[in-house]
Amino acid sequence: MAINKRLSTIFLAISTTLFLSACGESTSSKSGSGFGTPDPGNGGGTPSFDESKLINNLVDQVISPTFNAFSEQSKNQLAAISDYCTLEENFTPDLDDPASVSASLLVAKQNWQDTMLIWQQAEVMQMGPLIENDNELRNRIYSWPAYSYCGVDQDVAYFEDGMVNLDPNKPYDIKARTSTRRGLFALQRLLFNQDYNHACITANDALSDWNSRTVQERKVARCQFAKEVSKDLVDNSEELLSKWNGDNGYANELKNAGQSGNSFESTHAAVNVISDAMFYTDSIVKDKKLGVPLGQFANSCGFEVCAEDVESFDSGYSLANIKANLVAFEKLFLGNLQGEDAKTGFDDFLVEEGASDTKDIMIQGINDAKNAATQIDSELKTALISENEKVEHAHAKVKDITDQLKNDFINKLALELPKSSAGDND
Amino acid sequence: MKKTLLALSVTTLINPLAAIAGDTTDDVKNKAIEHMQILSHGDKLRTESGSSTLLTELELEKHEYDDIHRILASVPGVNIREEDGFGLRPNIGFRGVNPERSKKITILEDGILIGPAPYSAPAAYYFPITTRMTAVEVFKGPSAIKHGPQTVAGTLNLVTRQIPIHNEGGLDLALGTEGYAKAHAYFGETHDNLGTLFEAVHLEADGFKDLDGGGNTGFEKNDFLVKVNYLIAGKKFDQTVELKLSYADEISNETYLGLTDEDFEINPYRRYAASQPAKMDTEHKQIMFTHNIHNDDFSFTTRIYRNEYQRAWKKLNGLTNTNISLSEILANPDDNEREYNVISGQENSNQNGGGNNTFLIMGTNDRSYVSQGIQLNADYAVKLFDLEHDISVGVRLHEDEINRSHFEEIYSMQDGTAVFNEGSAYDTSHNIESTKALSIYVEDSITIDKLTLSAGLRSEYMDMHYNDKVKTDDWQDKTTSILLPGLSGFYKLSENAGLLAGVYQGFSPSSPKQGAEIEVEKSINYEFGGRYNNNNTQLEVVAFYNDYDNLKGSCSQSNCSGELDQEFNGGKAVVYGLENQLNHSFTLNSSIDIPVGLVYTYTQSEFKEEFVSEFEPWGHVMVGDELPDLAEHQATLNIGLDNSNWQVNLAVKFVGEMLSSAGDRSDDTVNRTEGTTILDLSASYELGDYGRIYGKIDNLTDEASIVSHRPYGVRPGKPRLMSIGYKYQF
Repeated sequence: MAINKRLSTIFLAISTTLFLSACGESTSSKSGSGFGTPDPGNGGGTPSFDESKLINNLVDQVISPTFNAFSEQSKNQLAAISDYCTLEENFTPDLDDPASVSASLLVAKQNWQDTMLIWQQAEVMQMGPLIENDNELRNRIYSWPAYSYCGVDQDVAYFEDGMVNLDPNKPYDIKARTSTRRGLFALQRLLFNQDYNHACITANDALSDWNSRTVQERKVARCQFAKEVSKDLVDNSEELLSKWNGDNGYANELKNAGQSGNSFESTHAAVNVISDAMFYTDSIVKDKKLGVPLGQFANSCGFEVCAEDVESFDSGYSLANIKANLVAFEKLFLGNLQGEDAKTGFDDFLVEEGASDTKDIMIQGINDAKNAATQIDSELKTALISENEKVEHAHAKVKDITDQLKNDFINKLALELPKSSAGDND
Repeated sequence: MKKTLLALSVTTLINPLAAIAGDTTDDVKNKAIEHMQILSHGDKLRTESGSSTLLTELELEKHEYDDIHRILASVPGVNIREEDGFGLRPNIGFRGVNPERSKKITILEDGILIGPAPYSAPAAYYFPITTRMTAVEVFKGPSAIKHGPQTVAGTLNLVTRQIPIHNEGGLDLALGTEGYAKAHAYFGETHDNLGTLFEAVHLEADGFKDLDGGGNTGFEKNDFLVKVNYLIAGKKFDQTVELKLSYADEISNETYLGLTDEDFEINPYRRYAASQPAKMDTEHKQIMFTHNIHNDDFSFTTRIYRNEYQRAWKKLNGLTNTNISLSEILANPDDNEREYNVISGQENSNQNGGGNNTFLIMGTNDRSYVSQGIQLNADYAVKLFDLEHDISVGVRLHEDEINRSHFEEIYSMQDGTAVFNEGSAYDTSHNIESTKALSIYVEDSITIDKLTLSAGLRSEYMDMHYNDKVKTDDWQDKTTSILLPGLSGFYKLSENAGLLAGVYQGFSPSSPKQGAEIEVEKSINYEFGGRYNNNNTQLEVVAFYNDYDNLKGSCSQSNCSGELDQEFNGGKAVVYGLENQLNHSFTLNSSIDIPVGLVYTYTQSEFKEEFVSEFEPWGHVMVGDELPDLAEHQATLNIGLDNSNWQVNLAVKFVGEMLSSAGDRSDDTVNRTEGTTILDLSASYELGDYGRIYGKIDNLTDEASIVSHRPYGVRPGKPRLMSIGYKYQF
């Protein structure tokens, strides 16, 4: 009896020990080509293609020159706006000849457009310092699609008063203001908008007498604030350069991907950062810049064509912005513009992966989209009605590119979709 | 003798020979109901190893709760995150597991899986109406591996009314503040071995929230149950066959949208205008066939079941033209003034070109579920090596599926009213996840003098499939198998006291959509404790230590702005604590007793690895950080005055502060809910042959504190609600 008991206990203990030590879990799976995240294999990309060369070319020949040019041009813009503002401040209506003020305003506007067109290329290159902290630096430079005309008008008055809404405890500091009151979008309103009344539904204390002031006073207040915004933009462009360039800059981080001590565990991960940025063409160019004003999404007019919702309503450069976006996409895809000396781009990567057909379709798509945009004769806000078919066509051609981007491009190169495209609306 | 699912196994396993003698209809009937319940109760010392708690019909009646959260406050080791105040969609965890949608516990009704799709999508959007339950059982520790698939935390078994042996019926009508109304009736009888039961419940309330612009924030629930059985008393075996049919529906005007801290201070019960269109619409159907055959040392039960569930929940998902989540907007309304003003109806969505438009994105997560299977349970008592072995075997072949047809619509905030934009609907997630699972468990309990040792092994084999209904190349087939061992023991120190200890491996499956790189959740769980029972006093003290190999979090709409149902690895973590329950009945005089129950749980938790997670409740986790939604101290004191004609009961529930995200409790910057004490008072008076009247006040002191920072913004618990009712039973 006692032996039996002992045996039984021993049996129980042994079997339990075996269970505890031998138990395990196993999982196996197979999936379709469109499932989740394709496994990038060894994390080092495909041995036959030199991803490092691709990154180096895109960083040195495409992205860094764009950021540098933007910084330079933002200084030119500051100078032009300062010149204009000096004339505006000294201008006396009915006494002085308005021609020189008008001419200098035109120069300032031209400089804004030049700055904007470079920035529109940089928009397709949002990575590293531009997307840190929920795109905080990018939004300070250009807040759209977030914007507030009322907010800009309030800050014109606050800046003039030197305090926020006449509160002496809140001295005005543009660095502390939200992004919709700063950057290129605010400058556009300050330089191009010719309705000098404020856009707020209710005027707060700072704006209480605004609409009753003379137009000249308001022009001066706007140009002075434009100068402040322009200075802030120069600072922000320099901040971008300081974080991008230099030994510890993000450009080097990308170029040295996969090396010890680098934050990218592989060159492939760095390539993915660049491809993520190119998805701007899908979510912003296709959907926000064209789809929303075309009425494909809810807009200010419901679900109809809506001129109010174009990107650059005041300046009328919405179409120019889209063309600049497509140019930047082309540069990133090819490593160079068509017609320039061929450099390493994603097209080469696709060829190496045996996806020449995808490369050809995408190049065709880029050309078709650029042509479709060029064929629109008037500015987007009028073309939406007068040349609606052409705008629809341009949208369709951009979609041709992004359809490839989201499917064959990503799959053939074993890249991951950016997180923002998880809620795909196509 | 009244028995629960635990009661069955305990009685038949520990002392099967003494189970039931005779073969009268009543005896057959008594035996037949046992397989629905698991736990024994009564005056004797329970000798099952593993921590377990039984709440009987009498205990459930004390406060007439409809809310499972309030019921489970009397169970140690249960962690809860409140959400809507009524407990419509419970968030229940045991021993520190994430309580989100109760997806980490196994929920059974009458011993079978009742969640909408327990393997493929374990979030318990359907939860049985608790009013009609006659017992609630909670299993933690090694006993958890008998149930599954969620074995890390444990199992909750809800027991429905059994077909009575003789004519029996009841009526329960109640009315209360906030438009609360309850109508509950049942009737059952057994005639010539044929038994029937009909039961119906209707519950409704207008809701206690003040919706901007007015409107109902309450709910309506209906529930119907029909059972038919036939008893066959044989010479060698007794048999029962039973058919159970049930139907339940719910319409509730519920939202995920909470409040900013500032607005909560002004009126905790406010609901913003942007939540006006919110609505949950559900329907649940069940059919179950049960066959039981048994004799004195053998019992074999077969259950065939099918549950169908459909739900469509429309609620605010986000805003257009911003990447900022609703949680962030409500956490920082000053930085997101425009968005906050639209949500709260102070600004219109459309700025007519004066600024970017901010429309309301209203998402309807329309899902249908099927869960079906066959479950076999056998208990057999046998003598081997001169020792009594009680062998328990279970096999379940189960299949479930979730079919998602989600879509979103655009609404405009227009002068304080959320207005639908015609033609704005578009599809979002359209996919299917399904699982075929084979589960087997074997347990042998051996009694050696005063020691009862149980060794068990559970095996789960899951064949899972996921496919997108639109993007046809987006699919995955996945198979996972796992063996889960457990060992436990109970040592009888005396007739009144004993020690229990156990160790087992817990497991929580990953859903079919998750890639192979998302590991399953595994843990080794230990417990040690003791029980004491001397008729008038029952005490159970259990220490537990759950050692996670890989803790997992998963995204629901309610806790994440990331991709829905995405799962996250949290690495190594431990949760440990002490559970205590004490019951004692004092006698005041010959006619009045004072029953007192105290439940106290102490819990500590720790992540063992540093990592950055996109799972919002975790974020950047440092080694030593605590898990979210877990109170260090929780206690419930139940005290009553019992007379044969009347009863008064007071429940005092304390829940300590809970971190809303992983972090260091001493760091004041980590969001948390404050400790709260809620008092619930109830009283009843017997009217002799004319039934019984009762009244109750939930949240006597009208405590209005923040119970949660999720899903979006802060939210209150239920305010003071008063109700009176009449109950008649025959």
